[in-house]
Order: sequence, then C-alpha cells, then structure tokens
Amino acid sequence: MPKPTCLTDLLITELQELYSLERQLIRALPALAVSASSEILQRGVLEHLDRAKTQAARLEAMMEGMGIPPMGRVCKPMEKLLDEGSETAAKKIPGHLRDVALVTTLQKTGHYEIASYEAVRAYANWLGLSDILAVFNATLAEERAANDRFSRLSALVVEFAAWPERRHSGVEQGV
Amino acid sequence: MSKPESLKDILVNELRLIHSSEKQLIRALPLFALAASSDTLRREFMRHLDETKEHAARIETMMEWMQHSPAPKRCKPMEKLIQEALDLAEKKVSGDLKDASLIATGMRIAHFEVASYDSARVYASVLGLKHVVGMLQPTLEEEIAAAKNLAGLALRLAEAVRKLA
Repeated sequence: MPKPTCLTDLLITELQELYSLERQLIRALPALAVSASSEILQRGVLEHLDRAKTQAARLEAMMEGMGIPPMGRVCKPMEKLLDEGSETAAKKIPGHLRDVALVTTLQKTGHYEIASYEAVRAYANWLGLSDILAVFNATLAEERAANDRFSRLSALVVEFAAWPERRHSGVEQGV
Repeated sequence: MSKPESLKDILVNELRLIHSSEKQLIRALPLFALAASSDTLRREFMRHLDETKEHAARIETMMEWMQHSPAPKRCKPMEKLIQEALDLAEKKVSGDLKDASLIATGMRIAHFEVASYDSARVYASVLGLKHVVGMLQPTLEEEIAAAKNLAGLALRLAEAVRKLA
C-alpha cells in the first residue's frame, strides 16, 4: 500500500478492503450454501449471501459518490478464511461435521466483517463525515443482528453434530 | 484440517489453530507496542501480551487433558492479519495515523479471537467437557475486554486524529 499521508487515505483503503471482503463472500458463499447438509443452514448461508450483495452495492454507491475506485485491494485474511472454509466443505466427511466447520467459518467471517465496519465507522467519525457515519451505523446494526441470529443457528448445528458422540461414548471421564 | 471424524476432532483442530494464533501474537505484540506512538496504546499491547502468554499456556493444558499435542497447525488468517498490521507499522507515517491503523487492526484481531474461542467453547460445552469450558470461558471474556479496550482507545484517539484530517 502506498504510504498513507492522512486519515482520508486510511478511510479509502479501508473502504476498498471492505468492498473486496464483500465481493469474496459473494463469490464463495453459493458453493458453501450447497455444501450445507441441513436445509435450515443452507437458508442461513443464502441470507448471508443476500446481505453481502446489499453491502457491496452500498459500498459501490458510496465510493462512486466520493470519486474512489472500488477496486485495488484484496482482503487477505478473508481470503485465507474462505479458502480454509471451502477446502473443508469439499471434503468427504459426514454432513453434520461439515456443517459444524461451515458455521465456524461463517462465525469468523461475520466477526471479521463487524470489526471492519467498526474500523471504517471510526474513521468516518474522526473525519466528521456524518452521512457516511449514518450508513455504517445502520450497516453495523444489521450485521450484529444477523450475527446473533446465526450464532443461535450455529448452536443448533453443533448440538445436532454432537449427538452421535454423546450417545456412543458418553462424556470423557474426569474431563 | 485432515478429515475430522467427530466433533471432538473439530474441537482439537480449533484449539490447535487458536494456539498458533496466540503464539504468533506473542511474537507480534512487542512489535505493535514498539510501533505505537501513544503510551496508552503501547501499554495496552504489552498488557495484552502478558494475557496472551497465559492464554497459550491454557490451551497447552487443555490439550494435555484431551491427550493431544498442540502440534504445529498454522493459523493463516491470523498470519495475514498480523502481516497487514506490521506492513503499515514499518512505514514512516505520522504517529497518530499509525496508532489509528494499529487500533483498527487490533480490533480485527480481537474479534477474530473472540469468534475462535466462542466456537471452541460451544463445541466443548456440547460435548460435555466441563473443565475445558471452564478454562475457555475466562479467556473468551479477556478477549472481549481487549476488543472493548481498543474501541475505547479509538474514541480517545479521535480528538488528536481530527487534526490530521
């Protein structure tokens, strides 16, 4: 990244990276949805996909308004997260375990998104850009609510996955 | 991850990834502290370094209980997160700008850890591994607190940073 000389440079970089993050989700989530073995989880993943499309469009419009090119950054941590997720989704393992791996990936990406929106909101706040600040406040509220919903779904998926083990072996002695 | 055959395998894998993250942070946090220009931020990174050493030790204990070695398992997303933070820290930019960027990356790292520990905790809980849950819970709370501290620092930095805009 060329040397940032002011806070606006940091904001621009952050926006471009966020846009990259959402685009990566848009590319990876359809295949991940298909890999889900439970229908309710599949719907959860597709909801996430819809949201990513909405956020990407929002970011595009925002950057257009500011005269910033949307491309130019790749969010590498997100790339690694999604690579790991896709690798596991492709493995021949029982469906309920694949689902657990899937919800873990999405919990991590969800948290990462929230952290990124918090960062960009902080920059917008510092720069006194109240319109942008309002957009990110709304986005954060949506992402947090979605994350909470997905957490509840994840808990169910994990409960379901633990059944075979709990039935057969019982709980580890002394642990 | 090689083919997991049980939820316990997934838990063990997650603990290995977390252990890798903590070890990477133990090496990186002193560098973040060095790069920080505000004393408060520097102290926060050093404080978190002490916590992180404890977190790594806890994972090693849990792995012993479960009779698995922590065994190398590189957490690549954390590698990239740290790399991004250090890339900027190396550049000659003004102190406040560097601090703003360190805080932003610090928050992402903290969130990532919260997500990882929370996942592990849910698996352990569902598997009935009460002692493991008991050890993960305080770490999870400390990571959540670390994220909040950074958010607080972001607010306090705001005034100084406004002058940069």
